[in-house]
Amino acid sequence: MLLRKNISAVQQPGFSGTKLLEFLGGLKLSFILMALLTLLVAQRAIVAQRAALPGDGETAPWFLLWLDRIGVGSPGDLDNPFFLAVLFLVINLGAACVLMLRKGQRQQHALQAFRSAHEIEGLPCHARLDVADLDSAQLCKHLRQNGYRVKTEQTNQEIRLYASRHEAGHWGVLFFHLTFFVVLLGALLSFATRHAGYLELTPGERFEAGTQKFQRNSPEPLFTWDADDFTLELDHPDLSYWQPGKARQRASEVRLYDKGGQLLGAERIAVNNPLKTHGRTIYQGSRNGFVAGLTITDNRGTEVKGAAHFVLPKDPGQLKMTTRLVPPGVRMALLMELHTDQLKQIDGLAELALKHPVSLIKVTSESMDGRRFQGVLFGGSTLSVEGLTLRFDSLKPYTSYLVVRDAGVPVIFASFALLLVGLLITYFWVPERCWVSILREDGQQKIVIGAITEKYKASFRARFDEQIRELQKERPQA
Amino acid sequence: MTAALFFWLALASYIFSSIAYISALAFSHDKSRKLGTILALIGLALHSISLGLRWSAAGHGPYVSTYEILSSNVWIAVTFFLLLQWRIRMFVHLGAIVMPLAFVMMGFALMGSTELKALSPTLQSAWLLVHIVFAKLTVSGMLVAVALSIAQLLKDRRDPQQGFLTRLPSVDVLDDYAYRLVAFSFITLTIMIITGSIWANNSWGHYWSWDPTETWSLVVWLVYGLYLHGRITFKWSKAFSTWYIILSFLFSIVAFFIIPYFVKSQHSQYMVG
Repeated sequence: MLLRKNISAVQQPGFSGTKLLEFLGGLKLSFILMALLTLLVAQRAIVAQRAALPGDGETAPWFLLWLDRIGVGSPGDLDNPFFLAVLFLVINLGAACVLMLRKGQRQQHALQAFRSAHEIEGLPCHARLDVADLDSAQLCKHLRQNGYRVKTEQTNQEIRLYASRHEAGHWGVLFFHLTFFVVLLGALLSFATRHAGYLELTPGERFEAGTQKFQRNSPEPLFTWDADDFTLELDHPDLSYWQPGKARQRASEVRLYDKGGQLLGAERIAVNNPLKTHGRTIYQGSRNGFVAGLTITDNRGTEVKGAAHFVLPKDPGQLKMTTRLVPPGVRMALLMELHTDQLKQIDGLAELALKHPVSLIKVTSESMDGRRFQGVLFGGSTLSVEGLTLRFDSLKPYTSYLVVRDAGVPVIFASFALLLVGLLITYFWVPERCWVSILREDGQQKIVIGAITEKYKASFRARFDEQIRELQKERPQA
Repeated sequence: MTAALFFWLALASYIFSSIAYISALAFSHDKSRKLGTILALIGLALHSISLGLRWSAAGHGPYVSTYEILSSNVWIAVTFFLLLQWRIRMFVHLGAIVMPLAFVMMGFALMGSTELKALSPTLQSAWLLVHIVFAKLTVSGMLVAVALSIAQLLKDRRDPQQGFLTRLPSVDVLDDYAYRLVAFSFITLTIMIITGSIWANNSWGHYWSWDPTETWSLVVWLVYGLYLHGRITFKWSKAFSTWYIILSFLFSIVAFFIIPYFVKSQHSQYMVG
């Protein structure tokens, strides 16, 4: 019994494999997976918008609240379903590509064959022309004028034509499907290699990539590689505003040095104009402002150096530059509000600047007992706050950068270009094939024309009928 | 002020053009059809002046506020329809559907703030123009596909051999062109998403950030992808296909215009107001 089963398997090689391939690469499975992916992406959109709803969602319109209710808890809940959906989609795409390659070759071979009048009359678009003076040369010319490539075959009683155009379109769907693998490869590369680090610099300050740590950064990627190190030095920020709170330009002039400290050149980094160097891309950040150098001394004489960062106004409705500082070893926070004449140097912010050449910080303490205004701290002076002495040492502008390394970016962008080419071929380079049989019956010439296309069949039929009318009209009936 | 005056004159022309197209379709009035086209052209010219004046005053193209976005979308949709009508004569009667949709969208545009807005640093990029142009082409293609679908539904509901419906192309041809336009919009939508992604990478350092608007636009892409896929896989009926197109368009309007209006995201800087 076992032996018979084995013989049967040998006699039908690949039978179950083909069925499995057809199932895995089937259009229905592909549709179901795509629908599933749509639902998952919609869930991701709901989760993304939840964090961005106005007023923590309380004042959001009813339909957004309704959408929010059907969303999952967090993006992490979608990781496994996404992974599974993409995995099955990759299997489906792979199997579909194999099937398309096999079927495509067979179909292409069969379609390029010449056809008899009887076969042509079996096509959905066909017509019989009774014109005596239309010969194969004229028909070939007419077809070529319409962009067809024509092949001819002649027997004793019959001349057969095969004409086609946009034949490359036959492979468009396969090409389009293959590009998804490139998209996925790019995404995978990004996932495995992307690293982003955030840093802030004041004029004259340097950042040495490789030895210095970023102020904040993304988790370490799965793969990393040694890149040439460089040093970035801020020359000066270049900011301008349409009005206070509405930025016009965020840019900065920087100097770039190599590993050995050799000056490589002066560069300008701006929003939409990042600096690409040493395998990394340096983006201009949106956080800009002033950093105040402070010295805090407690009543035992312990001195701590600190810095308070004040961000330039980002909203016309909130123009104050404030920050919150928690000194070490005390149970209170310091709320600080900066006023400075240095704002005059920023185009569009002069109206917020102090008229006199001075910088000051209004200090309010915040503790369990509530808030209490403590006084004004002028540049170079000191202020006592609840047993601490604050000294305002310096004030400098600062700007921020994002330094990114991602090996997936060029692959992703190349895949986008391929995807577009694939889509254009699939939908707008549709193959059209035409067969003609010219034969003599009862001493009369009979022409049978038929044509097929893969898409837009109704409008193709309308065009076909129009062409037939044109051929009939040009020549008087026999 | 002058831009607003030309906007209102354009709106009036579109309304009268709609009336002319509808009467041409209903009463087989060839003169009305010609009048509809002329009024649409006049409306388009006035609309162009309005957009040009606003462009000059604002120093940037009409793509920053809801008012500007909807207004320029209508401009592209009307241009698209007039070109289609010129190239394919059988679509001339679709003006009875496209033009009313156009002036309704103009009305919606007026619901947004007409105040001039300055461009933030992120929006000062050549990619913005490419991104926006393809977004507008997407909406235009979808809008005309909806008009074709509505025409199909009208022909399906009534005897297509009687009355004004005889002047519309056959259901098969309408369905064919609706499919073609969805394919066109799908490609322009793809370009819109791709250019947005390239621009985001250039501006923010990441090509995809799951921002609500970009994620919803991916959902719209998948929804239209399902239409193109489903037609081949399941040989959907024409009635199902038409309803799918109409509902997909409504969904895309919610995703592109209504959600960004309420949800603060990286796209909000040009969508609010």
